[in-house]
Amino acid sequence: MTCEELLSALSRYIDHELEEELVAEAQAHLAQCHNCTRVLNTTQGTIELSRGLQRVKIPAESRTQLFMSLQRFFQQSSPSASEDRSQGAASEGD
Amino acid sequence: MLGERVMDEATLLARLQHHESDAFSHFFEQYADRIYQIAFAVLGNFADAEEIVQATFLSVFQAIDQFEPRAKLSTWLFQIAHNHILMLLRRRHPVTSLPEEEEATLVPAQLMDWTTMPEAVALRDEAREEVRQALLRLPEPLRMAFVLRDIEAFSTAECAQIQDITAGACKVRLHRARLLLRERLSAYFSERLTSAGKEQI
Repeated sequence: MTCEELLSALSRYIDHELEEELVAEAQAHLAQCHNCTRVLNTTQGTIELSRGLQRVKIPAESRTQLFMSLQRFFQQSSPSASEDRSQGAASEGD
Repeated sequence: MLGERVMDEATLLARLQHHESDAFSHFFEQYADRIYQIAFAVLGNFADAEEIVQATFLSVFQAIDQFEPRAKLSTWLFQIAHNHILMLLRRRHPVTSLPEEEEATLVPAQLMDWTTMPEAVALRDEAREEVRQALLRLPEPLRMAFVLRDIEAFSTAECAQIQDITAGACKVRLHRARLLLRERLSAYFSERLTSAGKEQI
């Protein structure tokens, strides 16, 4: 396996999606190629750092507002709410 | 509200289609923050992330009565969130293709192995912020693939469904995203560790 081939197979190698014989070829290449080993290590390090990114949550006040406005929309979009509205409109028309 | 009780997707869908208010609460509690998190990682702005949460739930509720469970409810929800994110991005930045200079950097230029350096450990928090910023500079399709797969840990199949692309295309985007981020993060470590070394001399 060449450096170019290793590079193009790198993600599949990291994700354990590479065919068995290619894994052996990749490992043989990595054992003798320092640069490819560095690229592998730093790619894995990049993924690992990214997974540790701080999770964000909707701020409490916005969350309550969002919840209430969406809940209102959800209730108003129900078929029974439309029936109620049309019945109300019909009785208003009477 | 259903609190901690787990509701399976089929039950949740049926109850949403009957417009039961506790189903709404459960659905919102289960997914609102996740959508917000994805939108923030891709857009880098809290107000935009909030807008995406609202637009996503509104679209879902408008179509919930017609939803047929060929896909999972959650996957459909994230597809809609993804589409809203794309619409917002394209409204602001119409160009989404990978520029040629980005293609060139897919060949690794930064070869310092910062993962084995003890000095790099102290920089990890700062480096995460660097990742966040570098992520925002990635072309949108690559950014989305990386956020969904490597940060949110969706499977390749789910990532592909959410983005409406093949699993193969999803893997290609992810691979390119990883290499570009690796390059930028390695440049950051290289610069920081080299300057720290000079200061010590």
